[in-house]
Amino acid sequence: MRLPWRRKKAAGPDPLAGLARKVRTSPRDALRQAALAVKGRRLRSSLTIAGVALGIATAIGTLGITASAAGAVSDRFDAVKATEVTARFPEGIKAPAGDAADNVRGLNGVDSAGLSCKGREVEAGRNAYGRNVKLSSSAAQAEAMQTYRAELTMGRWFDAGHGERGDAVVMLDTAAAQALGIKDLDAGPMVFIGGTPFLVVGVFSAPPSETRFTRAIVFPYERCLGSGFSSAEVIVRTDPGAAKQVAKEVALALYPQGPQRLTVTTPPDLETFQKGVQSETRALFLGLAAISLLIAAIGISNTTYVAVLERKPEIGLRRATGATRLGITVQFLCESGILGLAGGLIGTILGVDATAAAALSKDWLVVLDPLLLAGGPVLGLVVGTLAGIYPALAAARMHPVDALRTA
Amino acid sequence: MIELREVGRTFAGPPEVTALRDATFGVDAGEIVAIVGPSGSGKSTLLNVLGLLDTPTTGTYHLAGVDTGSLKERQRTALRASTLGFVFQAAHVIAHLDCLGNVTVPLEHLGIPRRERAAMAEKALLAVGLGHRLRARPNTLSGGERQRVAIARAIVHEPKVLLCDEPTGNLDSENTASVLELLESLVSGDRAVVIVTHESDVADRAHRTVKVVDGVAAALAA
Ligand SMILES: Nc1ncnc2c1ncn2[C@@H]1O[C@H](COP(=O)(O)OP(=O)(O)OP(=O)(O)O)[C@@H](O)[C@H]1O
Ligand SMILES: [Mg+2]
Repeated sequence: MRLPWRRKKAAGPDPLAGLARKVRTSPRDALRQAALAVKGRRLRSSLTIAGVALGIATAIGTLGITASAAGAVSDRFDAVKATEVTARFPEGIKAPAGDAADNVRGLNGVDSAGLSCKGREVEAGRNAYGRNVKLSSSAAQAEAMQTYRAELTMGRWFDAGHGERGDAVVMLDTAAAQALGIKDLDAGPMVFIGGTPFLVVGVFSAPPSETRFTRAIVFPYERCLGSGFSSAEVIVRTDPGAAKQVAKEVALALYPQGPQRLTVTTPPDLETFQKGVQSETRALFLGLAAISLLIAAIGISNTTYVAVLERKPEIGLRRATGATRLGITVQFLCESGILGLAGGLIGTILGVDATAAAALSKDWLVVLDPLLLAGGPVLGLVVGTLAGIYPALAAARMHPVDALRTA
Repeated sequence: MIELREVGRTFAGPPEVTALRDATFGVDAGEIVAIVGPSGSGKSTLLNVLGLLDTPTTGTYHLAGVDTGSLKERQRTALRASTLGFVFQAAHVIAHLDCLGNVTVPLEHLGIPRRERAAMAEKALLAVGLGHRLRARPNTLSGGERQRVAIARAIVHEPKVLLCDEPTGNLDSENTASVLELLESLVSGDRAVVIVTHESDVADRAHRTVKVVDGVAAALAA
């Protein structure tokens, strides 16, 4: 494209020496004139600025909210979970013997491991005839509960003898103990299930991450081998970073007859998870932001172009009184640049507010890249200036005689 | 001041239009010259040529001793901005600028330092009798006042030639008279005024008249 102000270098002596001043418009004057025009055409300017602000606010809000959300996800992301591996038996396979857990404990990178299974809901009471409460039931090795990070609050854990001898003993979590009205274990309290008494040996606080020990009555693991229990699984606590490796080996160690039949659960990968949040949500909203910016750019381009048509006399007059094509181009570029910059500033403020509001309503930490704060106004400026190119060139191309012709 | 020799202007078609042919006349400093003629005869075309807004296709045009045909675009702009002032039928004031701002416009493009501009603009507005409306917005002015702002803007940089295309075309007779008086007062030992008009009472006040008929410009005796 031939730019309208392109010219060849003048050569030879100046025929105008002493007669004519050099014409030039200083950038400061161009900026000042542009600012006056923006200020003087208030309604049109504010509409255009609002358009850009919307686009920039969407972009900043999107980036800010996704960053805050990702931050919150990683915050809440249980560091404990990252070292947790479980291997679950499907229905129809008998639960393994308790010593199968020893094979798992022997794996490299395993910190602790224990077996457990789920039982039916039971009705339990303090005596054979009185009021019963409904509790969930399970059977577990002490190591399983410990690996889930259950904590002993009273009494003691099961020991190996409890299972081997088939003792009628149980453990309760604090919620179950409270439901049964057990305040301490000093008197050796008993719990009756279907008329059978069980001695409560310990009370623990249930781990937050596993429901099978919540408001539950827990039998020694060996019960899993009998009827009424299902979903046997091993829970493994690995050394940091060893989870993936352990996950590969745990099924074989636990159930060499058919390792592929076990369902192994590995900790979700924090990084992939964050990336997932970022790439999907972000892409969507950034797309929206890009569209609104594009619309804003078209808006600026359109308003500026209409302004150019409306201001033909002004352009003609400026040209007649010495403005060069370059001067006109610069003035209109400055105008659209100012509109874009103002939109960028307002949009950044709105975007930051939106991010803060969204984050605070969800109790997230507000995560805002300082680069974004600078980037918003700069982006507005760039969008505005780019959008102004076409109208500015159209203005510069206008012939002063045509521009000055009335009606 | 102005020397035209066999100047013509043909607009490339289609259709090709020769709006001006063989214009030969001069304008000296201290003169008011009226350009008269029927509508479409080529008066504005002639004035645009005189104003360096348009380039003649034939002939030579000397302005203030400079052969304008040899000038580059930027030099034409510089010569125009420095030595000419324009008044049009419409005042063409910029709506978002006050009177002072409007009158300052030519000074900006001439690169005159900011400190000097306001004083020059004020002086020009004073000369057209608008010293009391310096900060007024154009939309608060009457048509006559707006045209005075346009005249102030045309003389603010002390041009050698004032070119006016139907300067009173939008004004009533009272305003016409006062604007003409104003234009007369602006002629001086080193300034000429050229007025395009089709009103005979305007032409009557000129020292000389150039009549344009069908693109042929002929200087009439005074
Ligand atoms: N850019 C152009 N292209 C083609 N023809 C043109 C152009 N400008 C003017 N003309 C023609 O040249 C002729 C003279 O036009 P000009 O504007 O000089 O007339 P005028 O004497 O000023 O008329 P009026 O009194 O109505 O203003 C007209 O026939 C017009 O149509
Ligand atoms: Mg005309």
